[in-house]
Amino acid sequence: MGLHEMDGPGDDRRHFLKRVVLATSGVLSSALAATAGGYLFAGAGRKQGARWTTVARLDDIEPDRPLHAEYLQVVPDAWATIRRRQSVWLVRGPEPEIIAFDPHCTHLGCPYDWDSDERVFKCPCHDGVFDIEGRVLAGPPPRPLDRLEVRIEDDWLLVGSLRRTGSA
Amino acid sequence: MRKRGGGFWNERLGVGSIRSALLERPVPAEVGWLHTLGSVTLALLAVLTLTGVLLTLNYSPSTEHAYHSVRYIENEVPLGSLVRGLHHWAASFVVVAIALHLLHAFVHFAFVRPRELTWCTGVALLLIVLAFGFTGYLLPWDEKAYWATVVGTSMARQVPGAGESLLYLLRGGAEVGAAALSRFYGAHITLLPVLLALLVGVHLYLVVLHGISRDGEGRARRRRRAGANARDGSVDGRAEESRSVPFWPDVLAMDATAVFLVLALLFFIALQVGAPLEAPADPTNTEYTPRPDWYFLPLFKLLTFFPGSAESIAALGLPLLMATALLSLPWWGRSLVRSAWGRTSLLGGAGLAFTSVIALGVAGARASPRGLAPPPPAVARGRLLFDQLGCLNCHTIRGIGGIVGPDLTVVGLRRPDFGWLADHLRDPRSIVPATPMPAFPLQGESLSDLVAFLLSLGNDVRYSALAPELYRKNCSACHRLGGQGGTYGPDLGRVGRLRTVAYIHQYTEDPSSLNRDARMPAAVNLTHEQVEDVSRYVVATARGAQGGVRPERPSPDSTGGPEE
Repeated sequence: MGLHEMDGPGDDRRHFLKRVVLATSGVLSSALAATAGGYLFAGAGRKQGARWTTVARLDDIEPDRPLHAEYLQVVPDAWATIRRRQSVWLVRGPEPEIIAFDPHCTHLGCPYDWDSDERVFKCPCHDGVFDIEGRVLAGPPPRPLDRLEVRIEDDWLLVGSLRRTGSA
Repeated sequence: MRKRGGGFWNERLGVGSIRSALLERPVPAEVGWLHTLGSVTLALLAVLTLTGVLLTLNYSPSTEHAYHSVRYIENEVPLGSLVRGLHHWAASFVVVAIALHLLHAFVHFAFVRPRELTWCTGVALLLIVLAFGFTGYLLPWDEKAYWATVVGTSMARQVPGAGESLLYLLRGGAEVGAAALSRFYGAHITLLPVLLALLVGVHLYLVVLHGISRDGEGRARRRRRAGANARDGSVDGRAEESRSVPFWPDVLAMDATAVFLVLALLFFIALQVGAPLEAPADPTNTEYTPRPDWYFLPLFKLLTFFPGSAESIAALGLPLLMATALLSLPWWGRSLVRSAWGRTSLLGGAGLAFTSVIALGVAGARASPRGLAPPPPAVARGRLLFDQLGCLNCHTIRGIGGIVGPDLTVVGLRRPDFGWLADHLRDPRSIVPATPMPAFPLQGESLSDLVAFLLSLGNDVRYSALAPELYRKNCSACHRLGGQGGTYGPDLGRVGRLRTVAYIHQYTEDPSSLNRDARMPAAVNLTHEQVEDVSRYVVATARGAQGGVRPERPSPDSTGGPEE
């Protein structure tokens, strides 16, 4: 080590200077890390709510016969706004008046279909079966069918954001 | 920072010797606060790298998406505006830091042997940072970005012989467009960072290798003599050696404090002021006055002194001369440094050059914007509101914006109805029941501002003071306008309300291209600009006289329209 380290009182000073370096670099790296961390992670779990979209005339949804309605939805996709083809299964029930099912099986996301003979929703991929109210009757699906928010305006049915169901 | 002789990393990477070379190197005791400028620059470059990487994660370098992705970062991404603000302001800070660092090295004549290459890499780093600034300026794709780049790249055209090729290299086409944006982005995030890292590495290696310069060559010689004596164990040498302090922690504490203060200021400005984002780039906007970022203002101002063909001297010659002079300074300045007279003239010359650059910059900043009068304040406020509300997410103006809603490019011409527009904004469904447009609960001035802006779309035609006279001489014999003129041709008051400026322009220059049976002669005695001027005059007069009345049918050459 050099000569400059040899005098006694200098030790206190050097100790202080080391503290200064550690403190300033600590504060700065924390500020930058917090900025980067917030930028990268704080948006997690935040959903861009879907806009309400008119999908069907109320009179077209018959009791006991689910209606497969296709529609064009305006969806925000990060900084862009895109139009996406969507579909929904609409069921007229006693309570609530109209149920809108997301058209994907809750197992692995395959599109399912209505079997009018057996009066159940059947998923062709792994033989998942749901009843007309979306409850799991057979197969691997872990929870009932997911639903979309619905709103009725005059004679029209509008659907909104997807609401995932809890486990069955 | 614990010292262990045979640690894991030391054994494998030899970090012990690197650490002692970096941290325990002696530094002249007279280092002052100005010696921290190098560390401040390094810290700012680190902040720029970090924030730059973060920005790329949410940025899209396409003309369609660039502006929206930047606005998304600004408004939607958590801390996005802080990250953008830091990147924006650090870019300015680093130019100041490098320039001062260079100036400091200059007045201490730190460029002489053996530090020639340290100086050269430093000058090259300044040039690279300016290139970073130039390429980064375009990326937000707003008005400022677009127009500054149109002007900046146009300067390349003036290189004798190779102008067009250079312009193509920069733009990738005739205009500043998609290819230019990709080129600037590519240079900004791949080419320039690699060069920067390389040069910073060499520069730092040289700084450590040669140590910090003591003032002037005389002292360096004295030190060399002292070093020789020290090896002999003489008292003189020890005295010289004792005037050094170790880099860690003595000098590093100063560096760390300076870096801390500068970055604290940077955070403060980034949070308080943020980075500006103007309206989206609009290649058809004739009213925008392009302005470069502040560090290009000296060059901006310089160009006003060189008319015509001499401009290439100012645009390229002088900056090139200055860069060459700086890069070769260690060689041509070497002999000057040896004499007192030479040193004085070097400092005087540098002072003169520095003062001129600053004066030019200040003059450039003060220069009054050229161009046409700005739009009325209500329209300007409305335009800002239009951007802030995100109307362009769904609507398009002159090809920029979303596809969901109707094109609004000429909405003021198609719906010149204040009440209709105001109602449609406040409660769209009351007018178009199935519209997906959300309601905007605007009131009072903000509502009238936004409507004023919408009404200006398609109606913001301006003409020169010469236009009425041109019209009177060339058109009024056959056409009526504002209740005056001949009746041989159609009433231009009606035509001006229904047709666009472009249509009238084309019709005037070549009537048969739009109407095979036209009896009107082509306007051969008017220049292209004069025809444009008169066409604008016709449209403006026709609509001004009939303000507030809805056209009988939409203009034929515009796409889309509000829901009917």
